[in-house]
Formats: sequence, C-alpha cells, structure tokens
Amino acid sequence: MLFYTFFKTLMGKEVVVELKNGVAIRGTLHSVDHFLNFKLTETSVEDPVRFPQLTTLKSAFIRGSVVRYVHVPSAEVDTSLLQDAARKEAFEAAAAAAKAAEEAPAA
Amino acid sequence: ERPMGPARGPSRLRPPRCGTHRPFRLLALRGQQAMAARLGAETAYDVDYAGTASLCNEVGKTCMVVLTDGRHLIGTLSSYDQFASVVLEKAVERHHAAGKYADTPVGTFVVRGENIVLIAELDEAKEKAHPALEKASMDEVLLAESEAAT
Repeated sequence: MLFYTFFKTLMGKEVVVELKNGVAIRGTLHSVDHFLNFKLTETSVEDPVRFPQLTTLKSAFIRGSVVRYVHVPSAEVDTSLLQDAARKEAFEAAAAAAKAAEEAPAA
Repeated sequence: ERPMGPARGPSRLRPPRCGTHRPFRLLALRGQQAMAARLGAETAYDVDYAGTASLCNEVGKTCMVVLTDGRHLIGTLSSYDQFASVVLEKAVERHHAAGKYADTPVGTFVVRGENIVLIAELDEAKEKAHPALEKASMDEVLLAESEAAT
C-alpha cells in the first residue's frame, strides 16, 4: 500500500524501470496499480545495442512481477515523508497484529 | 401417444448462436471509453486508469508482447484481463540476431499473464523511418542466433 501511494505521487515523472531480465526502460510514469504494474509513455530503452527490438515502442505496460528496480528522480522524493509513512504503516501493522492476538484467545 | 404439434420455433434450452452475444470485455471497454468521454477527456490517455485497465487504450493496436522465456510476439491486441493475460491475433514471433530479424506467423495466441514481461504498443511510423534491424530470412537469423549462443 505504501509503495502504491509512493508511485502514485510520481505519476507524470520520468522513471527508469529495470527488469529482472536486465533490460532498462526509461519513460514517463502514466499509471500504477496495487500490483505495482507500471504503464509508461514516451518510452525508450537504455541499452539499444543489447535490446534493438525495443527501440520502436510508443508505450509500455510492465507487469509488476518482472520489475527488479525502479530508478526515480531524487528531486521528486521527500525522504522524510517516506520515513514517516513507513513508521506509521509499521505502527498500524503492529497495532492490528496485537488486536488480532487479543481477540483470538477471547474467541 | 400424443401427436406432435407443429414446430414452434427454437427451444429455450438450446444455446444461442455464436456471435449473438457481445463479448463482456467489449462492453467493459465501451464503458471505459464512455467514462472518458463523459469526463471530457480528449483521449483515454487523459484519464488515469490504474494498471491493467490502461491497456484499454491498446486494444485493436499492433502490440509487442515480451515473454519471460525471451520470446517477442507481435500481434493485434484483442483483449486482456486483470492478470495482464492477453489475446493476440495475427501474431508473429520475431527472432533477431546480429542486426537482422525474421518473423514466423503463429496465428492467435492466448498468453497467461504470469509469463508476460511487458506489453508495448509499436510505433509503426518510427519503425518505417528508422528500422533498428533489417529483415532477413528465417534461416539466416536462426544461424546467427546459434552462432551467438556458442
């Protein structure tokens, strides 16, 4: 949920998605979903010598399961906000786990 | 024994003829496009459809589908689903090696989403203007492929 929200804040920015098979695709992030599938527009391949087939693509839908890295522009990322969000999510997860443990022996 | 009366038309138990029912996905696609029109968008790209739903912009267009085993399939994107499975019509399998490529027609493919790496719309104008690879015969390309492998 956290990274879905994080990528939603990056919609319209240029990112480079590096896949598990080694190909890196640069493009403008058009949309993302909760599986972290990415849709990029105005795409280009970072290494056209190794992957000549992918040079003439208009847009790319990349399945989330094949992504290894996403290079994001550091100017667009507020790390303090990210840290706060991560702490909040960890706190909520711990609270939910504690509540579930409380209700389980009672039930 | 009751005598059989005159035939009264198709029995309700018989299944409908093929083609009388519009595919559900086409209706969903029309719904999405109608939604885009209602929101006053120029094209469906103006509306932010999340993830797989954004593939509705690519339906009917020539797309390249890259699979996890390295194959590149190029065909007309017919339909998709929430797992990013696709149906490709008039598909060709493109092999490339040493600056050359060759296509093998493979017909209609239904590809399960878990095998898909990416689905990309081909820019045909760009391809005609600056072809990255030159077309060659299948034998040449397969030979070059096997040479590259060794």
